[in-house]
Amino acid sequence: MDWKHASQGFDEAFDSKGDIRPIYEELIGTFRGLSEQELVRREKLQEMSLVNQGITFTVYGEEEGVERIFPFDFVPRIISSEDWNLVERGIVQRVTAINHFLVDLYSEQHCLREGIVPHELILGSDEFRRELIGTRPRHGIYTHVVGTDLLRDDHGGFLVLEDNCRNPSGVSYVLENRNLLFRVFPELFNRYAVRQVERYPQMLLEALRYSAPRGRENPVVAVLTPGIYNSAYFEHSFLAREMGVPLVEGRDLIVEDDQVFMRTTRGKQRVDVIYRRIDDVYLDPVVFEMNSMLGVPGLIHAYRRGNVAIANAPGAGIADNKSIYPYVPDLIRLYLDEDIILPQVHTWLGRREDDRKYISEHLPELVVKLCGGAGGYGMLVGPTASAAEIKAFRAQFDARPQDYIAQPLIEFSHHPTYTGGNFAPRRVDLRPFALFGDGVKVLPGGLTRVAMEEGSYVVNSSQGGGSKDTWILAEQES
Amino acid sequence: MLLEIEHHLKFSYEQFIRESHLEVRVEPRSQSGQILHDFRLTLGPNARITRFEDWMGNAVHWFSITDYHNRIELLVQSIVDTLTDQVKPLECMDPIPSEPAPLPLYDFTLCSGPIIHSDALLQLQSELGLSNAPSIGECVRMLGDGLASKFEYQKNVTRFDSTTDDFLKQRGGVCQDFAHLSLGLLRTTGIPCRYVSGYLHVDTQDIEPSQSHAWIELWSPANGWMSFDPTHNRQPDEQYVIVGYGRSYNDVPPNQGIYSGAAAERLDAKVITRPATSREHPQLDEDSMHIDLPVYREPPEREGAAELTAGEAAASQQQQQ
Amino acid sequence: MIGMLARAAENIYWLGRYLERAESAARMVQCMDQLSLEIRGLDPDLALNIWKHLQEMYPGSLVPTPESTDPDAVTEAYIHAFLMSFDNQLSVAYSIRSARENARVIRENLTRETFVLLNECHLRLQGYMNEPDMNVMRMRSILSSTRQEIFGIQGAIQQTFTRDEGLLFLDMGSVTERAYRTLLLLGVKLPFMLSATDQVDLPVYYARIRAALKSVASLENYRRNYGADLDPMRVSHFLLFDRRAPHSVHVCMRELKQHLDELEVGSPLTNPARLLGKIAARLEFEEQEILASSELDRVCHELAGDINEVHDAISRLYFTV
Repeated sequence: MDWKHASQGFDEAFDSKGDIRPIYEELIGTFRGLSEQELVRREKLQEMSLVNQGITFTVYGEEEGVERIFPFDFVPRIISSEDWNLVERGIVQRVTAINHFLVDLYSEQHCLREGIVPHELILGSDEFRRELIGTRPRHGIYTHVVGTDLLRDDHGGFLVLEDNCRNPSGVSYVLENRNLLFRVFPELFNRYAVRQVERYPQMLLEALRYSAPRGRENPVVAVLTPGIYNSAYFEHSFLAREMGVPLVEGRDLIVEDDQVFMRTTRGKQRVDVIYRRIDDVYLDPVVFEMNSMLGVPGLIHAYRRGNVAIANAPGAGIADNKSIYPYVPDLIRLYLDEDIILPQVHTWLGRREDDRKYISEHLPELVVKLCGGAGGYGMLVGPTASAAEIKAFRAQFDARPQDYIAQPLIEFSHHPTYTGGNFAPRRVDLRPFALFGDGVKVLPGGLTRVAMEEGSYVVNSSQGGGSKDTWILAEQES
Repeated sequence: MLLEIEHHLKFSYEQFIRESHLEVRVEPRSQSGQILHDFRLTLGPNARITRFEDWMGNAVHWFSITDYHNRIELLVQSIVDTLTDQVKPLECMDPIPSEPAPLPLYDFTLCSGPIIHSDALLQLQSELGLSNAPSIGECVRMLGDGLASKFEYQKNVTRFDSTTDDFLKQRGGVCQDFAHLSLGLLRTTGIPCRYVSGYLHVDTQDIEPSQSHAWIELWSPANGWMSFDPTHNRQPDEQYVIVGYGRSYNDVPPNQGIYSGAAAERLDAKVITRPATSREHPQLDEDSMHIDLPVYREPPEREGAAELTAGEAAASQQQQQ
Repeated sequence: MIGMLARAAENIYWLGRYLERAESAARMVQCMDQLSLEIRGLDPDLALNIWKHLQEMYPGSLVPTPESTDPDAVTEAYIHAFLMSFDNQLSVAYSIRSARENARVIRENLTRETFVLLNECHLRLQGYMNEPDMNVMRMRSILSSTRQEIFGIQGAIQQTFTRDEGLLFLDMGSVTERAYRTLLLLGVKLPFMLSATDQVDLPVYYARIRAALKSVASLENYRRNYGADLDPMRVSHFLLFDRRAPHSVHVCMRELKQHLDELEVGSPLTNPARLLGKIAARLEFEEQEILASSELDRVCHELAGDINEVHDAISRLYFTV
């Protein structure tokens, strides 16, 4: 079995001369001690385990939704404690500033009045919830759970690619991947002090309870899901089970006298905190004008009166609109009076006349994204797109340039990945998860997504990406 | 002018429904030029009503009925003192703004919801020559005269959710359509403007009844907000009672809500206005505080409900999803 | 006390019902198959017609008409329809799929062991659909292995579940289903069993009584109590009234009552408990009358209807809030 290293760009396991980086020596050594047959056997075992446990996501657009497993690559990714310390500090800073920004947007709007963020950008966005101006969530926390997407550039430095402030998903895979790797390759853990991720459900429950309305002892928490046909249903169910709280759908909840109740076998039971995994507009059909009984009529009224906490808070989605991203360094300076710790990618805004021209003239070199898009939809990767694809995209872009941003293509890092009997370099990103309760805490781990095709830049699960276990090493005692 | 307004809203359903959740925006605003002296909302079936003010400062009343029912009735009673605004929009000499709108006005410069930034809208905007108007006052005059000559007041051609494009095609509609189209035309011209929902008191009620009404306000740097009624091509006077402001109807519908149950809904609304003699309504006794309509814990049996057939009984052996 | 989410309780109740249904369908098919084989030489027509009884015991089941009257072809058609067809809503595979849907909905209430076993069972059954060269012998072995898998799932549930409401609802689902299936079986089999013994071919007759007992997993229990003497009245009594046979109606009703009592410690009589009390009283005090009745099969169908009423009462009380 060969171990190929990346011929260009940064390889996390090999240096530029092709020598194994010290942190990976034991790991690669252990793999080399296993026969090819043994690897095939373990790979099979791992796949069976995922299928039988129903660790799946549902693919949209197919009848009744088809359950698929999220491909798992068993070569773990290792991050040193020094690197992690920087990432952790950077994320805490970012999440804190973004939350300040949301508090400000829904109250005084300093950032708009001082022109730090153009008000056109906020008021023209579908994600800004005017209905909630003046409603302050408990402790002023909007973003209880944030997933920040990071890349490592061609020198190995971490860059922030985007923030996910509404319903970041993937944390169940962080825990299940660890579980799976323990079972299938226990020997890999022998020589490494890997920090634990198992405490996440407890951390999440603590953060959620912290947000409960004042004066509620032993607050009742529930996870709100759109139902079993949602692509992330497995995760919703997983988190409810791991936290030991009920998993509810909109129809299980009812609002009476501006209090939220769930329908139980013993009648109506009050709910204090809702960890919602549905979009804002599906929360309350009365306020958000949906013509259906999806959601919970009256929920927003109960929330406005402070009778129930909703995490993440309704309206938080405006913060991860891609057109806000370029202003985050300014927001950090405004609210925290600090310089940004983790650098971000240079971004051109389609709504700025100069930038629009630049984007239009450089489409084949750029990565262009829809501001409100997610999951790799509505996106152009110029350098790998065909002329026809660029032409089609140009038409969309020219029609509504203000809806797009563009960034240079980052040659992000490679990581050895088991593929067809060999270990070959594939591109990886990283999504750590931060929880905002009594302070901001970052789970020492994260979801490493991997592009399974050689040379591909697309890591999204909806587009065939896989994932890896991510090891954050404990600090060495000296 | 001291006015007394009664607004009746009666919802009825073909069959019993399980839950209703309703928001109403029916409380006249208290502000300069208009004072709300007394306001009373009576509801049946009995339910707790919550009041709050939305982001525009409009009063919203909200309630839920969570037992089975087939009727809901609301009686809204207000006593309001109104004044005619001294600012005359048609005489406004401010030029049409050339700078983008500042933060507080920005919301009223975008076409959104039923106001659609379409080719048809832009075409009418240029046909009327609004951009060439030397002043805001002249622009309003051109708009009012233009709409009066090209569009008809017609009931039952448009719906509550019709768009400006629908109105442009039909060439007929009601006050809401006139207001939306005017907002679209002024916004594409660069003048910030907002939707006003309220009541119009009519003296000659034997000919034309009083009604819920909609008109617009537009912003002048010199005068602030000025009101204009595009349906009647005139400046509103003391017979106009303001209830709510919004970007469009969608922000201030008199009633909006949702119910669960497979039954068709019918709404009968009626507005009665008259000059008031007192600033307060007479005291009510306990019994008159609510409209007496029944609710049921379980859906009342319908007469002649059929027994289950054998096939249905067999089907009941599967979980109903 | 915090109640369980009503929708979760409903799904866990149905999980219990569907698992029991799957296991009992597999068992019934095995017994029919064996009986049909046993009597093929003795009464070839009966050996074919006997399969139709399976359809009577499962009202609403869907079996495509076999293409020929070849006993092997008929056998294959029926086994296929009740084991692995997804068109037949009462097949083993369909019930397991339904159970697994329930399990997905309430996965957070299940232990990992239970979900994995059920999921594996479902995936295997689904996999058989595409298996080339499916034949009777293969299906027979699948029937046995699937029954064992279901016992494994039920075992995992009893071993790993928290002793709370969830388990009570699951058990209520399974005993309700069990009682219902026993009664449907008796309703179909009794007329024959109680027909005069001198008019029937004895070996066939006894084979059928044995099959009836076996198909409610009670032959061994019966023998332990009464020895090998297969008296039809005693068999009927055993299946309806015996206090130890796990599938007797009496035992199922007693267990259901225990679960309901546990759920409602200290509270006044609920509707399901009241209806159940009526059935229990009838079984208790009308034992002789029921057995002496010339229409024992009709009585069984009545009792099955009563059990459906208990089911409806449970649904209304606990699942619709």
